[in-house]
Amino acid sequence: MLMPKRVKYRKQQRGRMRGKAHRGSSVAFGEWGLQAVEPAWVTNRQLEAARVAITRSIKRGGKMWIRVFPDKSVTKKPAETRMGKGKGAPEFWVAVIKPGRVMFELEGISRPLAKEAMKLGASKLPIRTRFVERHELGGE
Amino acid sequence: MAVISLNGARRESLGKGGARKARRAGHIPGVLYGHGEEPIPVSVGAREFDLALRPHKGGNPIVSLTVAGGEYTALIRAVQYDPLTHNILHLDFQHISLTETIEVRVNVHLVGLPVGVKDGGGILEHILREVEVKCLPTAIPASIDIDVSALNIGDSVHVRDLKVPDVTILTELESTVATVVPPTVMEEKPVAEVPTEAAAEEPEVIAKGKKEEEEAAEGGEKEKEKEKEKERDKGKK
Repeated sequence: MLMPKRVKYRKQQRGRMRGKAHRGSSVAFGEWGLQAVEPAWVTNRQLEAARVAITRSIKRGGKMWIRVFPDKSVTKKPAETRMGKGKGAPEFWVAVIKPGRVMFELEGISRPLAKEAMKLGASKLPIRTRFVERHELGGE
Repeated sequence: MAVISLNGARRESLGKGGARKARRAGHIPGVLYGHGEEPIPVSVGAREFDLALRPHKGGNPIVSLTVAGGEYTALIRAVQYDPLTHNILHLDFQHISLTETIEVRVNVHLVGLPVGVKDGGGILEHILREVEVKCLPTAIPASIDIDVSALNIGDSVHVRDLKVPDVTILTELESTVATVVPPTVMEEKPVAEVPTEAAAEEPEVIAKGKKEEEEAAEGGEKEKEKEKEKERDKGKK
């Protein structure tokens, strides 16, 4: 599962997810993409589930890119613990996703196949997403 | 390449406030620069721009922009989009002369289905989607098309294979445009044993010494707490 190999600090503050994703908001590597339209923390398990769903759907054709990485650790206090006594232990890793972020990209397969694969992958994610494609100026 | 006529207006209110005001009024804020002249902040009607650009194919549209009594031949050099709505937020118009060569990026389109994909089950990888070219503004191609139908698995096309008249290609000639790679064999591995301990999944902390110190400090505190609790229990009894 995706997680950092080395980190400077084990625990992080939660932060806010304000605004839109201005970086990583267009299809850059492949031809088709899956774009988030809501903000969320997407866990490494969810990303892995989506990746597996997409690769199984496209079988042995096409190429896939994962454009996000879960580099934020989330801590949890054990059950039935009184408050205080410091921050809990790191439990899982998340990618902070803002609206507009392209999370997955595909290339080398037809549009309907890519759309179906992205639909299956999107069902593993906790947010609403949409299918996007490369954008060019003009009426093409 | 046809020149598209556009009517613009000089923007008086500048900055993000002015730009937002223009967008609210149904205009696209932009800037006209180039040819050693002072940049002019402009705005064009969003609807008018959309209609004018609709018949245009490919990137690098050339427009004839009428602003404040003057007419400028300009290349749309950069377009900023909203990440969610894909509405145009800002336009960069570069004032050009139709008789001077310019450097632009042109899209490369692959034509046909490679033999390696059709028969061999390979994957067509489009590596270079744009090439940089130098030419007269009137000779800018809408796109550079290259036939890939003869490619087998392991074959590729390079920039040197692109044939475009009246255009000098500036991108390195040895760069690969597209290649057909063998299909990836997906191995279904048996479900790996899930490590029960969370510690086994933790990444390495860069400052190692600090981590050990922290843990030692945490351990010491816990012992103190236990002692305190014991004392409290004794007191209750």
